[in-house]
Amino acid sequence: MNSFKLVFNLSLRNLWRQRRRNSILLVAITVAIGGVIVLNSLIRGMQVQMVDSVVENLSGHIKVHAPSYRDDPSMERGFVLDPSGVERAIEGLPVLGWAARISIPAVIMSERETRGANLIGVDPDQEHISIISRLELEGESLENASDSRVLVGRALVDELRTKLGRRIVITTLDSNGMSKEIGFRIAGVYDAESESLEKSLVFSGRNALQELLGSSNVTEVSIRLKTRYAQQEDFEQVRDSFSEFDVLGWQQVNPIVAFMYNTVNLVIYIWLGIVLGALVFGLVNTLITAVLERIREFGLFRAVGMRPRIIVAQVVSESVCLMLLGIVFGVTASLLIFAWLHDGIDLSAFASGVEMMGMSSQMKPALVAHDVLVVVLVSVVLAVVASFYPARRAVRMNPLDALRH
Amino acid sequence: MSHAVVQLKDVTRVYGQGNVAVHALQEVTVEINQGEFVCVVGPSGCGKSTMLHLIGGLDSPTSGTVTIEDQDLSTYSNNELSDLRLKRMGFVFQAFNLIPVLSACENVEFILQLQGVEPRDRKARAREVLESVGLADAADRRPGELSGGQQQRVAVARALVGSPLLLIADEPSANLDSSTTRELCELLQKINREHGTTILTATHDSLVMSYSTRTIQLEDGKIRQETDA
Repeated sequence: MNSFKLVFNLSLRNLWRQRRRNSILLVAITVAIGGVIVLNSLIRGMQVQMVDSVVENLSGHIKVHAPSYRDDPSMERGFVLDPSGVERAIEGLPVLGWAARISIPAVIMSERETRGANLIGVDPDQEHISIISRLELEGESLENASDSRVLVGRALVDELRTKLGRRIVITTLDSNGMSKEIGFRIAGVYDAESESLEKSLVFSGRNALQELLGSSNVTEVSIRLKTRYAQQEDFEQVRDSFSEFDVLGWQQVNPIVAFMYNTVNLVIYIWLGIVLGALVFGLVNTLITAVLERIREFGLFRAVGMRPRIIVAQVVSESVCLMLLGIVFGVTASLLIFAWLHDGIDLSAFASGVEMMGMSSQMKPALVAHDVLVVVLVSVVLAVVASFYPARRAVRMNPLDALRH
Repeated sequence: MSHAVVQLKDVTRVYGQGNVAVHALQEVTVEINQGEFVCVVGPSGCGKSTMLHLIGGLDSPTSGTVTIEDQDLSTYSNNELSDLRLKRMGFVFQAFNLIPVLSACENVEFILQLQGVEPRDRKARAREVLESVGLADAADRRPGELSGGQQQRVAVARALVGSPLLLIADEPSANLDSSTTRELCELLQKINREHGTTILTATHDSLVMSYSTRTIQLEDGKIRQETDA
């Protein structure tokens, strides 16, 4: 205990002795740690937005399809909805809601142009869980599941060179695999954050579509939870109830976004490694200078009987004290910056780029306690590691040579 | 009858090898008894400091044995040598070698801290020793705020505070003027007489020699003459 106090006392005083040099290093540590935490929070924010956006854009947290639907999305690969079966499957789960839909590929024709899109049959009463309830609309929304009009995205309307109130013809396959052409009136033109969404999704009433296609099938049930991420046990509960169906998470429904999500995790740790790695060189350099300046002092320590491990502890303690101080300043700075950026950064200038990543044009940071903890722990470990080489130099010096220095 | 605190038997220390080998000490045999105030004298390069370093366990002989209280130092591990220096020896260096970030009192206390003495006893003992070397008023000053003579007295206090068996002083007066040297010698003599601390000092200074009880004169690494006061 005595030695610990002695080491700590000497460390603090030596840090203070070289306060100008240590202040510069402290600023570097603060900037590095604060910078890593802020950038991590922005990257995490991006990640969270990607997930939220994907979950809201019809994926939900858990999706149920008939087997082989994903290989060939059609009414033939649908199933008859059993609402009580769905309720049983989600019993006890933190569910925000669920929606049964029809989602089939279709060809959309106006009097001038033809485009491919997905025809989505929805029950508007169930769609509080998805983007459909929050679409900005020109015209009218779908009244109910039996509404046989359509909602078309602004970008698709422009490409089809048609407009609100006009009729379009949709060609798709019915439940027997036969091609069927049906005329729909455009009830509303919607604006979404993503242009690709506007081009690819056309909404109509689910029951109306079933009637027009001569089938009582739906092709999917989408379940949205109150939590941001679904747990493994949530999947398993739903999977148990739909054992003969495909039960998928958003990652399987959107593998590209899932890949980007996982890449972001990797990027966070690579970035952390690069910044803190560079910081270690600065720390080692400063500590070596500090050791070389105090060669006679270390020689004296050895001569009067201080054990080598106490000398090592002193150098390590100086490094760790400096790092801890840097961590306090860095974390405080990052929290202040986080509070300042809390409302988000406007990325509308890069709208097309961020759209590709499934994000909105407002980038909001997300501070994850685990990330901050990792930065703090890795920094402390690196401070200890960085001090070993200078400490070894301090101990390996011959006390006589050191005293003569 | 006083017993031998330090014994050197046929001690040789050679630095370097072959043509560049320097024989700092050659087959030196000597005993230093408890309570003696011994001066090792001789021209520069005669082996005075080497002898002190071998006795202090800071260096090891090429051949021969160095024993402290009948214990052969070659049998000690590095940690045991550290403990021996900490608990049984005190060192005073030519350049004072005080720790600049600590006050005079803390510099003295530092040794007691390493020895594991409780804080309350430590402080009282450090102040008591500083008072005995006439520096009670300068206890809270840092080395940079003290004169050379005061710094050397702090170094003596630091060497004494652990109640060592042997106080080793390597050219303690080299950076002091004659009146400060006299004060230092009187202090060392007082310590030697009142506490019975064995003092071994290397010096060029005849004033320091005049306070010793025995003088060992070295020349070319060999003992040329031993003189009792």
